[in-house]
Amino acid sequence: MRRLVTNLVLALRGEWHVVLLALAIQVVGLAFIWSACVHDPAWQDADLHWSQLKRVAVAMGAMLITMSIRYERLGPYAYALYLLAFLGVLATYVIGVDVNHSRRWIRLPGFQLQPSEFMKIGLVIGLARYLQYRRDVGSWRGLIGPFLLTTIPMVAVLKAPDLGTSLLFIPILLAMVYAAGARAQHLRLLLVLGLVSLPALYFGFLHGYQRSRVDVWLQQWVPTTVAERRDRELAEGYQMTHAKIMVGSGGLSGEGLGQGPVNRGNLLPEKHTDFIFPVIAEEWGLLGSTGLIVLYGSLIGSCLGIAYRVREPFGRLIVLGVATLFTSQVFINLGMSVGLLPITGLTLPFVSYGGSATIVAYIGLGLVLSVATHHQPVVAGEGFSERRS
Amino acid sequence: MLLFYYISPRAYHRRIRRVGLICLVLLTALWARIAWLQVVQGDQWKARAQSRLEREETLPFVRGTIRDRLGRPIAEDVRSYDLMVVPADFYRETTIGQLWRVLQLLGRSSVRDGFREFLASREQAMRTFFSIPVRDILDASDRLGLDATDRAKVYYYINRLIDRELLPERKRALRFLRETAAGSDAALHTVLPGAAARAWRSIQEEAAALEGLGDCIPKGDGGWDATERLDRLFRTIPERVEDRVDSWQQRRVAERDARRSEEAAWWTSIREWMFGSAAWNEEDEQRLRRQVEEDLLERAYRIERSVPYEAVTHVSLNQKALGGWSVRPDTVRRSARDAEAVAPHLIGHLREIRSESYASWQDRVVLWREDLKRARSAPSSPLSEFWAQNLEQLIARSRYSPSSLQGWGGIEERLEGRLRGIDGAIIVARGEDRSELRTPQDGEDVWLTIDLELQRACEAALDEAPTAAAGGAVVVLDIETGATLAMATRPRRSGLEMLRHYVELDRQEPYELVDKSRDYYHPPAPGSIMKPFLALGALEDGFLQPTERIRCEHSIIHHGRRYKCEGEHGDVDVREALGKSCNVFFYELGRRLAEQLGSPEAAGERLEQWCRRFGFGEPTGVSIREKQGHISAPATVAGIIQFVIGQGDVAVTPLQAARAMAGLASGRLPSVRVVERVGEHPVPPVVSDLALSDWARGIVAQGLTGTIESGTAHEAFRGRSDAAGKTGSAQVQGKTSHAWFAGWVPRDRPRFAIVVYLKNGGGGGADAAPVARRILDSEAWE
Repeated sequence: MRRLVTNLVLALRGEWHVVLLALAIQVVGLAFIWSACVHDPAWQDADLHWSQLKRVAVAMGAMLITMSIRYERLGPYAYALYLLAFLGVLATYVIGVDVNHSRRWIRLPGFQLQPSEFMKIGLVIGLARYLQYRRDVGSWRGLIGPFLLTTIPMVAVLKAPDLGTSLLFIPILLAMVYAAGARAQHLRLLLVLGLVSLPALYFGFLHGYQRSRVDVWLQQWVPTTVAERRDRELAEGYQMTHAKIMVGSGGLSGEGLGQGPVNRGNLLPEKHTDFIFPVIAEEWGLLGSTGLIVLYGSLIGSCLGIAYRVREPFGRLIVLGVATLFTSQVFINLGMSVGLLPITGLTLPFVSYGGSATIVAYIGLGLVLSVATHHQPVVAGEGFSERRS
Repeated sequence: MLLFYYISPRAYHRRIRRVGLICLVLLTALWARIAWLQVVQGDQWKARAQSRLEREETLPFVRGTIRDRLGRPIAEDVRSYDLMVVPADFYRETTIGQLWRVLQLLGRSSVRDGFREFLASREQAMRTFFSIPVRDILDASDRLGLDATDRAKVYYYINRLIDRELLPERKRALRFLRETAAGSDAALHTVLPGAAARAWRSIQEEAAALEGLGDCIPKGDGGWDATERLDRLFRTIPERVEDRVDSWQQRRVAERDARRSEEAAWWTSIREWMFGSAAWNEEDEQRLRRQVEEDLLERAYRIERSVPYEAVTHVSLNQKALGGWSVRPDTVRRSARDAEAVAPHLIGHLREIRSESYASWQDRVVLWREDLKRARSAPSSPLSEFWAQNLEQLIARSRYSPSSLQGWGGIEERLEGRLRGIDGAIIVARGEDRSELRTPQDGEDVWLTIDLELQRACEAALDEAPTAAAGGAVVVLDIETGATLAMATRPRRSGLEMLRHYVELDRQEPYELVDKSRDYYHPPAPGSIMKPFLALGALEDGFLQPTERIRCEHSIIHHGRRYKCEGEHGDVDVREALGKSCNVFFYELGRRLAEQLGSPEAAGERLEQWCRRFGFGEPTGVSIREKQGHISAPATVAGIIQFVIGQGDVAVTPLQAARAMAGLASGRLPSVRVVERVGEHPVPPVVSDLALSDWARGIVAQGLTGTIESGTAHEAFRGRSDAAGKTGSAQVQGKTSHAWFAGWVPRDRPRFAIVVYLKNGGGGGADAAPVARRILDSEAWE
């Protein structure tokens, strides 16, 4: 115990700001979970902000434990963790609970678990383990391994169906492979191929409702007749339109916490989970949104800074993976809230209401801190182990 | 252990920096999008948020009740239900079958039996046809590239297909669709989904076969037609959009300017530097137009007032299945529906401002304003002050929409400003506990001077008058105050008929719509009822001595022309002349007047003056629409001879006659009133003293008593002698003469003046006087 505390204090010596940034975001999140539910008859009496607070406590415990473990020790267990998460995802097909037509959850005594969330961390660790000493990522053949490692769980998650989470896997893969030394032109080619095959994916993989979300997203840029637009906005496009209405009516500074008229009117479903950002944008306006984005930017920047400093490949790949995870999750969530991206179910890390997602976000943060505090400080000069090519 | 990097630290760092850069770009893009939504498009989203959050429901006001002098309601609002439709939901959800069902319940789809059987035999086809959403048809017409008007037409014809006037409209519908679909039958398939098109065609063929059945289609009851209204609704929406865009645009620009002046200057300048100036541009206008259109499509519109009970239950029970249809409580004027309504001409009725008359209605407001200006500039009396206030109220409350009800004719029109209230509204904002409530202001009640029972009795007496009279009127006036106790006219149309057929009648038989007691465009010649007024004048001015006798030998000859009398009365004094209605006496009087005054012109002017002081040729002050009649001084002796028996260039409305009689009876000329009070504001009686000499009036009164006791009305009033009066028969070229009776009761202490007029009714004594007698005998006469 003493060792743990000592470790912690020592550990956080240089990285307090990362925790503080995450906590700041978390406070905003709790406030807006309260704000989103306090006027909603469906959730009014549930006191979700308290239960979220409990989850945050659990998640912070998980973070503390994670950060106190020397991350190198995960190395031998990396594939095991990866497999465990993957089995969890597969288990949803067998014993999953149906929520909103998708089987993402496993019911355990006392709580529900969303294995796809843990798959994200599992993937980061597994990829880091796989890539840490690879020399052949620069070749096409070397990319096959990481590609398979990513796509197999991705397809499993996609079939759940959980499009949002599975979309996160691609940037994680790309960023980690890139940092591990893959050739830029290979990745560019892959990206182009991916973009070209989007229509095929659209027709081949997406479910009807997912397609209609994409349709709606595309149609918002196309001028239409009033009747059509109305139809769309009240049917398939309801969520997107109302998210945009909420964001747009925030103005410069918003009405203040708990005061947004659209929030009070409960026009937007899921506003305490995936669509919590419109609430923030409505009630705190552009200033609040800017603040939130700056906080996220600083958090991500700090993580990237840690990745920048760490010279040990396993650690820095983990940190980079988590940073990418945060970035893409924030981008996709906010992007769908403001109509930049089609709607997918994805939480906003540290803000949205949710159990697994919160725990996973904090575990990710714990991993980053673990790497930050346990990596070998740079002793030798830059040129020490460099093999010029 | 750190020996074997594949990637060099420098390359790694570069790559991390790139990843960081990408993250930064992504977050910046997000920020830019948020800023775009919140700042540049902020107003637009705010407006949309508001329209999503707020729901405004009109709370209809209750129109004031029109009561008789004892407070019995003559016209009042009763609870009813309106059928409403939200066009947007209608477009989306309603199918032809649902529409048909609703119309059927409204009683507008009275399909004839043959067709109903046919429908039963073709159940399958009809089911297919009925399950087409109306919207599909509209969409199809979109695909054909039809504009809004043609779209509405398609829609209209679809309605027609299922509506009662099936066959001719059906043909027109098909023709229209074929024509718009470029003449090919195959194109019909582009208009309708395949199965529906087939169903339609087979129905069409069968229906054509049914055409032989002829005229068993029930005649429509006109006026209130739900399909017509739907059609109009859809057709007028584009127009209304245009209307509103103009006015909103100004408001929006003003709001925007106001907001700009509110927000910090530094922010404005930064925003304008970043996103351009906030000037109004075309894009804004288009956005506004879309918004307006959306707003208009989202509202509930009234399709039919006062729907039958079955329709109310059907619609409210099937709210979910019937997209966009709903019922809303409202009120309906009972008199409008009541076939037994009394005094329909006096009371008037309510009708909707039709879109075609909406423009002319706006002209009306202009007219009202002019009226008000005139009323304000005129010398003020309590009465004119009252009417000016009424006009002011009217202008203030003239917030009509094209479907709101408006008083037409009579009191309903004249007192529109008082009867009409102001609609309230309940504005419910989602998520807010408070809802804003604008209480409706109900209209004020109007108390008339009319006595309901007496009015009924007069109407009955008039209707029963056993003559060939083409029309007629009865007026009963309170002599003291000028209050009208009854004002009946014949022919009489029930309120319902007035409502439904007003326009038709107005075009074809306007005669039936005017109130003969005040508003007939050719007021009749008064005939002999002029005589008492002339006699009074002559007596007062000394042209005639009370005991002077003039010999009546049936006729006189003037310039070789013979002027006749009804009988040969021998030597008569003025009393007998009045009682027996001797013409010769008055011919001689006229001639004498011309002699003594030196010229026929002077005599004519004197005669006119005698009449004018009793209010002939001027408004009676009744304040609802009336004709003034006319009276002009005769310039020749022949003219005078015509004038003295109330013929020639003289025209008098029954109302004027009654007023003059009241003046004669009491010596004081009242302004005619029909409104006792409005709300708490009494309408003051206005009476002017005529300064008549009592002895002359007494002599004339004796003459008029003689009419009843032994004169022309003796037969009619047999057994009753408490009245005084004068009969009149105004000759009409080539037709039966007009019959008049004008008098007062009781004989000695006059309280009520009564005038009966029968157009082409025959003789005053034989035809008009019995009507008066019947009224006096009725139970209603206290």
